[in-house]
Amino acid sequence: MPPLLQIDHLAKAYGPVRAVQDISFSVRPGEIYGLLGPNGAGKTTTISMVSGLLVPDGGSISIAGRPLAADPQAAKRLMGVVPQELALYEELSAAENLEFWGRLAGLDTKTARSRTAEILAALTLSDRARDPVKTFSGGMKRRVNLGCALLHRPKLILLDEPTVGIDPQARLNILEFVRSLRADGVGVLYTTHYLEEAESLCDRIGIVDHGRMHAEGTLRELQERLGGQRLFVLEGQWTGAEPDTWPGLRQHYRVLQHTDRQLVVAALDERDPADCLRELLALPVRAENVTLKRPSLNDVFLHLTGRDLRE
Amino acid sequence: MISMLRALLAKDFARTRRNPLPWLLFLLAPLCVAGIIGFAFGGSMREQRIGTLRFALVDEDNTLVSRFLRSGASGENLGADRRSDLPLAPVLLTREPALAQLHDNQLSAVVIIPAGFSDDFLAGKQVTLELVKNPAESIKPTIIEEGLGILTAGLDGLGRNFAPELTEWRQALSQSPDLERIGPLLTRTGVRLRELGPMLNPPLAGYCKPTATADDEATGGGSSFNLFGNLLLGLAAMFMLFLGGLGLGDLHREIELRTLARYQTLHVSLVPFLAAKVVFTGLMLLLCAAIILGSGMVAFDLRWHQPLPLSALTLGYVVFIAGLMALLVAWIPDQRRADPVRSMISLVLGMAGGCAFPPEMLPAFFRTYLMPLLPTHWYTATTRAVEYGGAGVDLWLPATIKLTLAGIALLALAAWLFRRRFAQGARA
Repeated sequence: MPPLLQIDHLAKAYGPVRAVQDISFSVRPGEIYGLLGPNGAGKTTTISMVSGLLVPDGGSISIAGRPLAADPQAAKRLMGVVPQELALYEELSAAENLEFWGRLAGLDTKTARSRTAEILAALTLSDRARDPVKTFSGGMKRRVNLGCALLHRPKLILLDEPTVGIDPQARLNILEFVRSLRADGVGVLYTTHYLEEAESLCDRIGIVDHGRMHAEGTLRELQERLGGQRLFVLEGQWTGAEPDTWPGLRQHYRVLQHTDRQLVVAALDERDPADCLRELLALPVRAENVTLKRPSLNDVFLHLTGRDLRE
Repeated sequence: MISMLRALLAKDFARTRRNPLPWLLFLLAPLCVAGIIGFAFGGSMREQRIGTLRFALVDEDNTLVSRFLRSGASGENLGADRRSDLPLAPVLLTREPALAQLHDNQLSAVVIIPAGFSDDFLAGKQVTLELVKNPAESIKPTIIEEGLGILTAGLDGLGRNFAPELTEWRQALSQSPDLERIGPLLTRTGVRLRELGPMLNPPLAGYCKPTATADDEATGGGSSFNLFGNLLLGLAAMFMLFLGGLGLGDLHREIELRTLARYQTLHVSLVPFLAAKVVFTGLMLLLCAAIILGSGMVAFDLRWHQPLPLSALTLGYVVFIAGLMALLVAWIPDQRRADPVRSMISLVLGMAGGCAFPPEMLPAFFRTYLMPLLPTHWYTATTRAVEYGGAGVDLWLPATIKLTLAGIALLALAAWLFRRRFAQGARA
């Protein structure tokens, strides 16, 4: 079975700014693929090209094995797009919004109505179905925004940062709903700049920054890029310190981050952590505290791009 | 396609129903403005009757001739010949109280018979009357001025034709009355006046204004297209431009709300979305036109005599507005820039097209070269001609076709601009 979405060497520039450069990845049925990167990394531009809002400068996009450019209308029928900004009519009720977008997707009135009721129930919005959207909280609007893309039961769902600006409880609701979509064999392309979402939700993750794909794989595969399961965080006064001059450090460790208060290093080999700790404490500088931890996606991002995703 | 159009139209009507205030404001505006301007210029509704002309008569001459004029103006001594329907209400005052009352807006004008008036008249010289008009009024003082013009012209004519008799009259009146002299003079003057009678009554030329009879009233006939009707047609034309801007300007909001972008994730072709917005605007404009013109019937007692030509012209005008506003949205993607441009264009088209005031008041250059090119003028001039004079099909059908074709051309241009804009991958 071909992937639901196959992107090869995609490129897009706005004048001199290269928003997307040579990005390639695929989304398979029943898979949630996360595109992780900071604001301005090129995530929304990528989704806009896949959904047909922007014309790529280069590369190719295939939907269910067929080039998007060959029959864009057929491809659009297979997709459901949830834009990052709310695209709703605030004067209309939640049910009216869903029914309207369902009818525009080609459903008859009766089907659109019954699916609206199903989706509102799944999104726990049934009790507010007849209320105008303008009276909703941010989290409820986000859920309606998500629901509007699902009426025609798309095979591929493109979610562009669907949890931006909402409270943790509403975010959990949305993540749970997205997880449930995977069970129906739907492929999901999920862009986010929240590490926790990508870690907990996505089957595979692509890390993008400045329009480039820096790495992709499962969470485990990405963690292993740091050479094992261990990271050591050394806290102290590191202002003016020059780790390259410390004997033995560069032979056994890779420096991931160096700030005034923190030094993060990854062990390059499979030695006992206790031995590593002894070595680090024996360095010719005074460490106030040393912590051992598993590498996070942020550490991977930091390693790949040289900057913290949370910055 | 039809199902999608229906869904799009239902959505726009539902949104309008939930937030009708902007539409209501533009609907009420032409009615309010027509009412205010109409009443300001003294327009009444059905009878078109100017109210009583209240003015002061100041006699500073105080002679037999001036007393004769005074009594004529006030209707004294006319007995059964006095006309009860004359809307004149003169009051005899001296100069200061008369001017004070004029200042207090109690009078429309002050007419002063100056000292020496009788001497001039009886000497066959040109006579003058002094008129002070109330600057706060426009119509009534003008009517009094016109009346005085007729009176002085008549007196001058009398002076020229009766010069010998007037000389004798002055001599007879300047001394103690001599009945032996006055008797034959009176007889001679009377004979000459009788000879003039057939020429003066009825006059050789006259104007007769048809008025509605009781039968007309019963059958709903008679002319009731008055100042309000004239104003309302123009103002409706102008505010329909604003209403059209409101309808198609919603495309800007759809772009801002990202709902147009969401539509584009479902469909390649923009045609159904744009067509639905044009149809929605057209239907709303027709509804609004019906409400404005229909309300005129209730509020100002108007009667539209030519509903078919009026409807056809309005339909053509609606197509033109839809085309113009669609072009403005396609041309200026940014709503903040588009709103003032749209308002300016609507105002200029309305004003220059003769919507807000009579086109005859505009400079000759406008009337000759500019107005014939303006669709607002095509609509207002033709609808007014149709309602005032019952103009034939040869007048309103070409205007309707011109308006419709102009609208279709503008819509085609707008569609081309939209297609070009979105084909370039611009942010929807």
